Amino acid sequence: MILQLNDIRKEFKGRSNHSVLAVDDVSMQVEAGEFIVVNGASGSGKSTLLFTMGAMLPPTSGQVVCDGTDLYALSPSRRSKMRNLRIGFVFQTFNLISYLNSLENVAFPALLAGSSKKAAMQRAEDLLNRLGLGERLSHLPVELSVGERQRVAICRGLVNAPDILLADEPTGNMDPELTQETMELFRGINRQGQTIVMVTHNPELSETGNRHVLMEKGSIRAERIVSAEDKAL
Amino acid sequence: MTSVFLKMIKARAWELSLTALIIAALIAAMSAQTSLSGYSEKRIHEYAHKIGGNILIIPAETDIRQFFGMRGDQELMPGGFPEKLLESPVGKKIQAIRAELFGQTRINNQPVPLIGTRLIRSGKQNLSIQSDQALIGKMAAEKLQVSAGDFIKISGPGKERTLEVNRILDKAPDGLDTGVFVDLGAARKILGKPDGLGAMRVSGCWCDTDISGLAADIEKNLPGTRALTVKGVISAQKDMIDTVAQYSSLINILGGLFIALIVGLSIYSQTRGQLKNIALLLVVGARPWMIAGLFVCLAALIGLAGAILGWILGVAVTPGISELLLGETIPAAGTNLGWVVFSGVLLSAAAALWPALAASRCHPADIFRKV
Ligand SMILES: Nc1ncnc2c1ncn2[C@@H]1O[C@H](COP(=O)(O)OP(=O)(O)OP(=O)(O)O)[C@@H](O)[C@H]1O
Ligand SMILES: [Mg+2]
Repeated sequence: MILQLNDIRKEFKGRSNHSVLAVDDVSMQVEAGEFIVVNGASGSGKSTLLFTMGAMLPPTSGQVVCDGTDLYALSPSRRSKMRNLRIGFVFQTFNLISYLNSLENVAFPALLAGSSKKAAMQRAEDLLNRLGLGERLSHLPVELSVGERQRVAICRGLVNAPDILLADEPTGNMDPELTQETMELFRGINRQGQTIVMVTHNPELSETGNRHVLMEKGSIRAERIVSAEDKAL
Repeated sequence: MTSVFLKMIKARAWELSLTALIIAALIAAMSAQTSLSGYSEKRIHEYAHKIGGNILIIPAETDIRQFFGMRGDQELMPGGFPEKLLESPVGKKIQAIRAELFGQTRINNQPVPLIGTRLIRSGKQNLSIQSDQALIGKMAAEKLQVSAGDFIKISGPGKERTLEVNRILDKAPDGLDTGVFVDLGAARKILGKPDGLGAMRVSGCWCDTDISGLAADIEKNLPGTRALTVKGVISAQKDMIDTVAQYSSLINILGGLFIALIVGLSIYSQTRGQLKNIALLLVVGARPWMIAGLFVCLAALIGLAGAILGWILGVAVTPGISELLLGETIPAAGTNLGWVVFSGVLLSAAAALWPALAASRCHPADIFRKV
């Protein structure tokens, strides 16, 4: 088991005393090699749940256990380290650092993890090559197409060989064709053993993974294992 | 990794440079201010030293600074005052009076202050000058390249006169090494002032005399004059020195606070502008202390640059500022560079602490929602 969520609740306190219960009592386990797709209407709490999983947003109550330790019981510094080594992120808006080229963007988390510059650059280059960006190593994000940017972001998420890759609407800014391409990329990465949790409000993508979680008003409404036979249909 | 941080900073380098420049200007102003107030204190001691054991009598309107600087046109008092003083009840206590007249003259086309002097009633040391001779201060002699036996042509507002240099004075009276001493009568002709005196130096044995009382008596007997004693000068200036010293520390404290404010604001603005990048760095695994450390180091660097630049600037502008404010060119008092740098760096780093820590504690998830 990679990650375990125990009774996660996340409440946002608004300014005028009204509060929003974005995640309401969610428990869930992520097993190694899974590709989980979290689906649900806008505002159903998908991003909140994902950020909480990713050690980026402390829950109001509940635990996120990774490798036997509760992520939110760690000091901010240790939590950062956990994030660095065990969790990869891919965002809807890619969130690349604008003044770093593709290679530097991808290599940066590896440097933070303590790799030598040479090793980090080598690993970043290998990944970028694998995702077909070998010709774009020294391009800045503005010089890349939308699909290329997302692939750089995926490389960055993978560079420290994380236990789990979390993706929040990775295809939200893409046309259907590019969306299919990107999903094919995720499936490929998953087939090589990478555990993935992807959040999307696009119901068509729910068949992409091998487990489908449907959220509604902060809770898990339904959960379904997508078997190989289902996909064949 | 450092290069990544450097690139992050480079994007807003102009803002950082501007901050360093403002700090430099503040430090320069503070060091000029320190030099100036230190100098006025030093100068008052010089005055006291020049008066020595004498009582200096000058016209009441005379500006002391101009007087000792031998600048400007001298105020005069009546030429008969020495005799009047000796005949007054105070006269008994006086051994000698040296009557003086100052003025600006030109010798060999160079400006040289001229001192006309005459000893009225001799004491031990007798400075007697023949009316066709001149004694010349050591520095003036070097400047004019003359030696004993040479003739110098002195031109002033009055008649031009040629006098023989009698002696080069290794130690000119009252430290006037840059001046030329001539007989009072000759000086009056050269300066075109047939009557009047600029100053009288009164000497005597004051051992059991109330010197302040004596000075007051002199002023009473010679209306329109001021009688200065060392004690009088020091006590008259002491209040001023105290006020200046007080303002000086206040100015330094305010300057320091202002520097802290500027650095704090600049780092705050940096962190705001870089919030998304900071959040990203945190997400991909930068430790919060790295982020805080980055901005504290950045502030320290700004402080370092500002301090060094400010120190250099301070040395460069102090003479000009003093010329403007005091009418005298004062070199920068050697404010210790090490100390300026140390306090600049420390102050800047401390000022950055709060915004740096705040940035390092931001919640990436919140920031990504906002942008
Ligand atoms: N920082 C916050 N402060 C206040 N309310 C918040 C905050 N973050 C999320 N919420 C609220 O929590 C609820 C869930 O938000 P969340 O972003 O998780 O939804 P989502 O399922 O990801 O939606 P979408 O598909 O539109 O991205 C929303 O009602 C939102 O307004
Ligand atoms: Mg969302």
